[in-house]
Amino acid sequence: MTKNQNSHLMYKINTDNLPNHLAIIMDGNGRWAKQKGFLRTLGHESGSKSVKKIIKECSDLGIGFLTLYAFSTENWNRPKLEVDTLMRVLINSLKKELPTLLENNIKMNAIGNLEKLPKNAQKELQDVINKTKDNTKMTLTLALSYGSREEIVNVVKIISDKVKNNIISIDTIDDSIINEHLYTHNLPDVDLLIRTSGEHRISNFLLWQIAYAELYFTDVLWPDFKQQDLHEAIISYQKRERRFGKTSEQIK
Amino acid sequence: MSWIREGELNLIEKLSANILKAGPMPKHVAFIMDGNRRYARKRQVERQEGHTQGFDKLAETLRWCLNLSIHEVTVYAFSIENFKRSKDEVDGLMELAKQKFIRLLEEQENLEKHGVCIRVLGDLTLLPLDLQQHIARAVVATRTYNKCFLNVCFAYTSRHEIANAVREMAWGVEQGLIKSSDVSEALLGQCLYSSNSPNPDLLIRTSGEVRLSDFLLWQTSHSCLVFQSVLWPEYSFWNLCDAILQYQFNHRPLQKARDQHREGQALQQYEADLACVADLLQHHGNGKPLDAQRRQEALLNYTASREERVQNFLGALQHKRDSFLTDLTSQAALA
Repeated sequence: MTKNQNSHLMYKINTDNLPNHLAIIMDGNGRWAKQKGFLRTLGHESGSKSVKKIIKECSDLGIGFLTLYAFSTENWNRPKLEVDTLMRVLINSLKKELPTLLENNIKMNAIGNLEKLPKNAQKELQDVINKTKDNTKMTLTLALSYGSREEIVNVVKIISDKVKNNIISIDTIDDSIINEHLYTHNLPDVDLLIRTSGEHRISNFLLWQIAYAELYFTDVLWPDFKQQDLHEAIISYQKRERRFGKTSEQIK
Repeated sequence: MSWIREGELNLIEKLSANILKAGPMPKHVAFIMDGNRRYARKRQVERQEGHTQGFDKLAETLRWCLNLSIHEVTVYAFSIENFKRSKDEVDGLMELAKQKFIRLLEEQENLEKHGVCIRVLGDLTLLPLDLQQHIARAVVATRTYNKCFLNVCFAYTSRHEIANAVREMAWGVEQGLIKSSDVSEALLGQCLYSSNSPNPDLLIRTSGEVRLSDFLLWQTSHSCLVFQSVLWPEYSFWNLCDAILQYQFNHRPLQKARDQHREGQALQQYEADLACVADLLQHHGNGKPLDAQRRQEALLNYTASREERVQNFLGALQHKRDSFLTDLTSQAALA
């Protein structure tokens, strides 16, 4: 893809109507590797290159919040070699990309059951979070050891204990109380969710937060997902009319 | 117009249905029936007419589902967010709903013949009282039918449903019916309005929008999502077949993902029970470590007592819901 093609799509993007919070299910590393006759682990290495490109592109475009589904609760059940590789890729990426995050004023955030991560991964992650906490251009959230249903169950336990201890009353439990207790409490709702590799399902990712998100499914495998593919997704998003339950006439 | 359309498929439709049925079929399909108003604009008829035709299409689609041996259908009829529409439109929709539920009771014999159980999922307290009463009567009247199930989401959003489930569980913990460590994915699922249904295999949204709009967010985590550009009142048997084909195409990875998730859940529950037992033994034991057999016994006992607590709590919850409906039907009878 030439620089000219990239620029062509760039001019179609309306920078006043960008998704404020973009979430991506980065699916397809394994399939990509299989297609090329590589080991799955190489698929994940290649996937991490796409991650770097897309983070930079989102930041350059001016997207406020980017959340990436890096590692799900189900992924813990994959073969040990694959899990170890994913953790290694995570740690190396965090170390390597810290300068880029600092240069681009990107704040690192993480959601999920982080205590299940190996200690060295937790340490590296916390280090990057601390060093980027004052950055303001874009918040990058990695969903690690994350499952949306588990997130919501966790909220129920916390709220139930608060009710039992008379910290909150049952009558006050509503959407916003639940929102306050989610891992994503300091993030806005998702505006656009992209899933790569052609699967048409959500797979336990930000189920609550995507209530009114536009969904975009692409057959492109994650390691092949480039800036142009991102632009296409955003252009598709910009063509849509978001009504939130109202009528077209009401939102004009 | 009736809730139940009689009629079989024509020859070509039957042939196609048989071909489809040779592959994996969804048992539960959910529909976001979008496009009534755009249809009305396109046909230059009143908006209300669009909604009326939308209802007719629902009856027809239910018929096709039965022909395809799909025995459970959930539809998004009215979102809590739709209350923000104009008073005229909301009143029109409430009136349409009232007529349809009254009609449903008139057709009870037919519903019994086909074994159609109607459930209404949503916060009924947000609706006009007379509509609540009609709904309650319809739900109670068809409660025991079990050949097929139509779940109508009315005054519904998924977040509202989840918040309601959270309140119920918090109530359960407050009352001492369950412990907060009993809260699990499975339990939350059973506290939702959809507790009597399996999760949808397939979710179809018409009219070209590609979003969930706060519909069954929890339940569709591993469902096949199909978005079709046809407007709901124009939905055809072939559109439905197309959606089912897409389900079949995606079936294997979907099934694998679901199985993995289920296994993960079972493992998580087991580990949670183990942790609770270890905690109990630490606090109540005499300091001596138990042998493996005693530990296993303690675990089995704990799991059994947890399951009993949960069943009792769910029983209390069901009783609350049944009483709410029965009270409404009694009020309706007195009126």
